[in-house]
Amino acid sequence: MHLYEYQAMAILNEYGIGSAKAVVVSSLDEVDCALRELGSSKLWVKAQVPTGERAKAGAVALASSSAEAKSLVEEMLHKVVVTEQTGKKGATAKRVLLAIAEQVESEFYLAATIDWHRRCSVLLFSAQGGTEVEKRSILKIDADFNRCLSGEKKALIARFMGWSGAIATAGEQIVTNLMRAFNECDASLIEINPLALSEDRLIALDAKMTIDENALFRQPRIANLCQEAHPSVEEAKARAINISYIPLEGTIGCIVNGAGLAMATVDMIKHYGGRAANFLDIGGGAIHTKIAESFTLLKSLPIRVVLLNIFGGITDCVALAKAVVESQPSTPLIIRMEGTNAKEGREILKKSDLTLLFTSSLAEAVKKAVAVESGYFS
Amino acid sequence: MAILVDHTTRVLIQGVGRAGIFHAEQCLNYGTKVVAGVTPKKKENLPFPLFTTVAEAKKATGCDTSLLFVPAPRAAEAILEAEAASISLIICITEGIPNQDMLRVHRVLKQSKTKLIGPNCPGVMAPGVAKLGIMPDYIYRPGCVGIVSRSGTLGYEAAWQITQLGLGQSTCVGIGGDPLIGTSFLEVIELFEADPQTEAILLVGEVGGEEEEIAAEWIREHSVKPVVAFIAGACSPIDRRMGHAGAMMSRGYGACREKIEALKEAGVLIAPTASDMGKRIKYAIERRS
Repeated sequence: MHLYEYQAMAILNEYGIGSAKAVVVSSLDEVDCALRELGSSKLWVKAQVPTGERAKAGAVALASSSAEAKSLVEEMLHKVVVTEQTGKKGATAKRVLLAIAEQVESEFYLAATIDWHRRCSVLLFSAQGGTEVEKRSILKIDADFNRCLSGEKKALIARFMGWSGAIATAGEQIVTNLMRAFNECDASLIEINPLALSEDRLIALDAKMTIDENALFRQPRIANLCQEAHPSVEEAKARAINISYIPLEGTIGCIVNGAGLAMATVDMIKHYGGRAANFLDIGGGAIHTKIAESFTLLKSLPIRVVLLNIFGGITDCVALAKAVVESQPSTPLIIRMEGTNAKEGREILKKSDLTLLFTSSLAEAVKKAVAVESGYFS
Repeated sequence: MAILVDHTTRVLIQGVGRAGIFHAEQCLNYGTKVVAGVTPKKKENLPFPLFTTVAEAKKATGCDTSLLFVPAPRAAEAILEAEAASISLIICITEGIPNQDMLRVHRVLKQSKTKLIGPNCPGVMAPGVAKLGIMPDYIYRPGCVGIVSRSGTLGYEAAWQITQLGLGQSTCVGIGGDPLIGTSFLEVIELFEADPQTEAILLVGEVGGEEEEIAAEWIREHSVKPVVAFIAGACSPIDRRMGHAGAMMSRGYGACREKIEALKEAGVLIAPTASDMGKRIKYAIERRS
């Protein structure tokens, strides 16, 4: 789960990593008060959207007067920001951050994250922060964030970054604080880019923080922060009951158990010339609520047919079938059901008064769904 | 022969809740030697003795493999307990274990002989030999295809297609859907290559990470047996939001196309859709003979 910049900055501040003075606004009314509080007219105006590359999209701009700052906020607030990372749909800036534009002498890059392949936590450094930093020289240090860095590693970092004296001490402290923040907040990524040298201080001028969703059960405060960052009401509701749901652009609704099978189903629909209306993985467990909620979610899409593709391992097809019947979906269903109690599950569905078509293979199910979507089948 | 498990495997169930009990009984019905359960609570009428610690269970029953259903908040602790008691193989079904907990597990496993499959996996199935997991057993039959899959249900789909074509499986390993899994594609493929019962290998991958690419490199240099792959997620958007850090650490964003290219270059046959997995592996076997 990606936090907004202003949320990440607030957390870093709590962990002793400083940033430029800033105020976040969610309406134009709040701007005057924010400007007074900041007391400076040279300000960075930044749309709060959970994506990088904001500058390219015009979602970050420098204001040199209060009037300019106000007009930039008006331009950005509640507008959609589209970047390569957000995709075509983009992300709406519900808030804009106003930050004092500090004097910057140099920019560094610092991140704490996980090297997924090597299964360990790592620190990443660059002496040249800013855009396209991955093309510069990078220092990568494996570290157990529960332990202090060795003297050797600290010296290596200082040398690499060109830090000495008081700056090296400050930098070392920031790295220590970063590791602690990462651990205590169950982060998967904390990226400070740039970490700026400004008048003998090292401060974070931008921060990205991604939280491990599997850990939200033990991070109640952060879980609340994350609530706001959901792309849509439907997706938030789905996530709350452990369904993975992503609306797409077609008219074949999908309900599948298992992310791999769900993705493969969407792929196959495209392969056979159709368009999936959504990706939906109901996962295992609590089938009744999940099935009911799945059909509710699909009601919000322009669906002509629903493809129910179930291969029950941990999932009991009988429980699932009963849940489907109870949900009383009005759209025709194409059903491919295999696995635990599949035969009994199919019997229950057959006996209901729903409009159903059973298929025995995945290919057949997808082809039939595509045929119905194109109107060749009634 | 089967890899990872055989008919002598003695299984311990960690996490004897409703799911643990149900699946333990299914495994027992299949013929697996489920010999013990570990739980802090007292329970009655179970078909295997219960202990409060893994060490006690091991001492009393000689169990060597754990099938773990402990809920996510305490699952990593349970894995570490089993490792400390020298359990050789831990199969973790549990999903939702926090990354940090898994990093701690990996730090220990790096210096250990214990092997971990999963977490967030359906388990290991050696048809006709042993079932250690939650898979529906009717879809399998003993045979010569080794299946290794990240996705649980897509792995079942693969097995079912193979069974329906008159072939069978040597062992099916669900390595799990999480990023910090204990055993990679590469490690399982190495085992399949060395297994006399396995004549062909089916890799079921998906978008994200670079495990398929890493396996492809090894396959290119070392594989003797035919390998077929299906990669799910051609239409799935890749998560670019790991941004610079992600780009700094991996060769790409884990896109389907990149994985398929890497596998093709390694001589792996690609199944174009999920419904072609069985057909492709049958073709690969027939082509070879």
